[in-house]
Amino acid sequence: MSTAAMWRRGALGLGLLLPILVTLALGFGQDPHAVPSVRVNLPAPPFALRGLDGNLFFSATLVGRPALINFWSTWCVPCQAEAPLLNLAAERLAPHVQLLGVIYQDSEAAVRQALARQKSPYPQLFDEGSQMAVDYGVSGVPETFFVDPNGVVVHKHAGALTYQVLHDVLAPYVPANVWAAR
Amino acid sequence: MNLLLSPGPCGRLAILLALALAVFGVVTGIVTGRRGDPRAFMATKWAMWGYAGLLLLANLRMVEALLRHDFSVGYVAQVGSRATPALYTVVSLWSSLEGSILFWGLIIGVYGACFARWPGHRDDRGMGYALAVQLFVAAFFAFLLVTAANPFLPVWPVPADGPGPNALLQNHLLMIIHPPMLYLGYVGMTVPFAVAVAALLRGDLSPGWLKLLRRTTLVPWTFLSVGIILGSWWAYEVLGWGGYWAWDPVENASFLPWLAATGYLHSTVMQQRRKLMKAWTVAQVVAAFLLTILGTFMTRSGVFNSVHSFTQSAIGPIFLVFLAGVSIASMVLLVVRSPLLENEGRLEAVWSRDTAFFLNNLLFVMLTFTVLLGTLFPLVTEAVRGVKVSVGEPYFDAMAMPIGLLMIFLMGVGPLLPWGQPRGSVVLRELRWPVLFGLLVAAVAAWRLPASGPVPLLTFGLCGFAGWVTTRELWAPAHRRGLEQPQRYGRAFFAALVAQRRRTGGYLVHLSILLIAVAIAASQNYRQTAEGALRAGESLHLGDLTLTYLRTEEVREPQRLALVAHVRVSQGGKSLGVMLPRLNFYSSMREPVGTPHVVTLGLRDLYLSLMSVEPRGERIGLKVFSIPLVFWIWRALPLLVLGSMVSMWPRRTAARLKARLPSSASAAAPPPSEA
Amino acid sequence: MSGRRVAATLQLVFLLLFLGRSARASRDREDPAYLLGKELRCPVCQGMPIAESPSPMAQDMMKQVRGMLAAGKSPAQVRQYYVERFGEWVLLRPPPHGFNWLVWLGPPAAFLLLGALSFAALRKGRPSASPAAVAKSDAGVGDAGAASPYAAAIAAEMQGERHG
Repeated sequence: MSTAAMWRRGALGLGLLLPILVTLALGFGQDPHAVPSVRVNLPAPPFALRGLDGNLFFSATLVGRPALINFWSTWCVPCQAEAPLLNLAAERLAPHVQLLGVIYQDSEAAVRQALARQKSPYPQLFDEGSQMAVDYGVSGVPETFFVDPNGVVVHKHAGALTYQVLHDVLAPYVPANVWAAR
Repeated sequence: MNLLLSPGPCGRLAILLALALAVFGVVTGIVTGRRGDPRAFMATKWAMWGYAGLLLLANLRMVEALLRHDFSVGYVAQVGSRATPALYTVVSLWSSLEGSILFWGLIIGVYGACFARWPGHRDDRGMGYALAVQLFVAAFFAFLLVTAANPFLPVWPVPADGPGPNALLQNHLLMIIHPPMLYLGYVGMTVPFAVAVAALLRGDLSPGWLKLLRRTTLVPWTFLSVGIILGSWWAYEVLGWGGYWAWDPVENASFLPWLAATGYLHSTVMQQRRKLMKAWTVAQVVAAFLLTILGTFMTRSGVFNSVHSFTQSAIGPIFLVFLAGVSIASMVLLVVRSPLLENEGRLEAVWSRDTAFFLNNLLFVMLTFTVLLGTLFPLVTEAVRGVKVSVGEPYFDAMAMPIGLLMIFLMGVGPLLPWGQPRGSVVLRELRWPVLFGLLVAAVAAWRLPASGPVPLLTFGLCGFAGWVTTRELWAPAHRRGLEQPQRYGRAFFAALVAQRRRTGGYLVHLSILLIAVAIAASQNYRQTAEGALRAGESLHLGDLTLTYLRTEEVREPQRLALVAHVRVSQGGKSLGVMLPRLNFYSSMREPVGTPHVVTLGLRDLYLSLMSVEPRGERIGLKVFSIPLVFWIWRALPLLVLGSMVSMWPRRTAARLKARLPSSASAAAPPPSEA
Repeated sequence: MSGRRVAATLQLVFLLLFLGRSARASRDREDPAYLLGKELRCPVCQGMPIAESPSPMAQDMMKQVRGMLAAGKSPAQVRQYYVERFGEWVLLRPPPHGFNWLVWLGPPAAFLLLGALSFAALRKGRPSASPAAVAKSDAGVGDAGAASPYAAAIAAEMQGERHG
């Protein structure tokens, strides 16, 4: 067999092999569990959910103020980790940002029990039938959505919320002296 | 000295020594291959045996540490727990990343040690090369054990107790058997790879080499088949969704090397008979091995999203470098040696068994490619488009179904077509009965079964057709031999089957595959489901069955708490018994792990899955499946194992058997060189 | 047809009759919501379809799917509904458009290309006179009088294996 044919075969083999190897190498940079949100930069889906107090909460009341919507549940460990930060944020940022908790895949009894121990300073809503979770494309808890005053989703954070994220996303809507008071 | 007696340091030392021995063996193996020096050959074999011994020692010390709850050893601190029963403690040796690599090292060593003692080999130099390859892979695993996956790392301060192994692992006995089977299959693919690389290096692809390749493949192939089928059985018995195969990346990882190996087990026949498709054979041997490494990478790198995968670790990049190095090196070797791999003959006639074998191999390659592409495609899209996509069951089902049906068709047509240049009339005449039978099966299925489109009918019909041909292939020649000696019909019949072990074994495996195909078609297309929330005394109906919820019982076991629902099953007012699906709560797991209850009623499985239990068992969520014929998949397993054992049974034993049967011996005596 | 064959056929017929009896009533394959649910990925599980997943989110989504189908939406509309919320990621069957064609057409294209190339190579080679082929034709002639050509072919094959 000629050398040229050999080279051809070698090139053909490498052509098949290299894409696979490159694909695998690129795979390292990614987290297979992270699902990007398609809702960012789109209007936040409207909702009307029953709160702890039994009254309906309408998304229309959010207009004009940025909102932070946090999906959580009592059985989720990182949710417990982020709870103090959210409670603090609710107290400090209250005039500027509306915080909302949405209970995800949990029994009402468990939630009431948990909130009796540690009262929540912001409204907690029951998402029966997971309609709101589906509308927001929630793929696990905790997940936090930031909605700007025009009702557009500006950011989605998966996993426990950090001060850095909170600050980076909400800074445009909250006066600097509020952050400094931390 | 005292330090060496404790498992940690002793294990670390054993692995370091094993690494050194393996590297030494690679060098002496290459020297053997190049010069044929008998002393170097001896040294290589001893390096292999030494490696196996040291890995055995390291594994035993790890088991000892696990059993003694020696939490100063890193791996024990990671997976051990005082509350875990002893059996599961031993099993946790391979339940997590580092331990599984340690266990792999042992299996590589054992395969290599057995291979070094291979009785039939005639070429010391080729053997030297082969052992060098085997030791090279062994060295890689020892290197992993020293670096990124060291199970013997000391822990300080020593914890008092550990978290225990993964709860899913402790949930079913099948989980104890199926991973080692898979590992035995996976790791065993190193040996045929070593045999193939050695043959390329030596430039010898003679019939003797083919035989060695087939034998060394059949052992891991059988283990891999058993591992895959037991794995699907485990999924069926444990995961609670009434299915057994989900085309999950990790399942695909075990399926890919199996496909490649099955492909070349067929192409070796082509090579032996017609001196064709050598390049296919060798390329598929290499591919099978590379796919085992890829599969290991997929399950352990954290790049893929799967229920089965291990947690993310630093092992991924090392594996990728190894994979890239070995695949590029093998490809260069293949290309450089391609003159050796040219076809020596040609495909004489289109309508011949040659073509059937060629198409069969093409289909195996295509299916392998499809599964590989589907598994990797989400990674490709993310790299190219930056978008996450999913490739799941609907894709794989749609692609694999036509390929599988064509394979079954070829399984039936192949044996009817003679090698070389056939005479058309023979084929047509012999097609008559099998085709009629296949049509009959399809017609009866169409008449009796609820309409479900053409695919299941086609599957049943093709399986009937191929089953008829295969059974006749097994029966007819042996029957003819038997008729020659009517007074000793049974022995002669048996002797004829034994004399053609490879043929007999192959067709037995084909029959088991047909059973599995029927089971898959029936269970996929005719499954029924009912689900509901039941209070005590309420019932759920599924076809002619009534399922009544009685009560929920709480069972405390050492490592878990279980809620067991009692559900009475009755048919036409007559009680068939009480079924006990359960939910198990482990301290290490947030969510409960269910154990469905499965019973076989006639030709179907009744499968009860407990979805949820309200406090005090007031109400339960119950899902019920009626799945026809699914159990044929696992029942076909003994037949498959029997077939491959018949096929690989050494000739000497068979010759002795035949020698005791007087007159057939003259006809079927093996050539002296075989004995 | 020999007695054995008749018996085997009858057995299979009975088997199918029995199977038929047990498989009346609604099946998963007849349930449009199930078929659609098999194609939608459960967002909180690892790659499972919502039709099979035991997670509460998946079960809620199945209820939604049933509701939408009952309200007269087409499967394509339902799929679109979820794509708008979760992205293309939610579809377990990659929709055939743009780059996704690769995953659908790659395997058949590879099959045709590889098949054509290798078949051409196999047909091109030297005509062979391999021992197996010679043995075959010999045996074929020798045994032809004794039994059917098919039996002769089997005998030839077994002869071939012995030498192999």
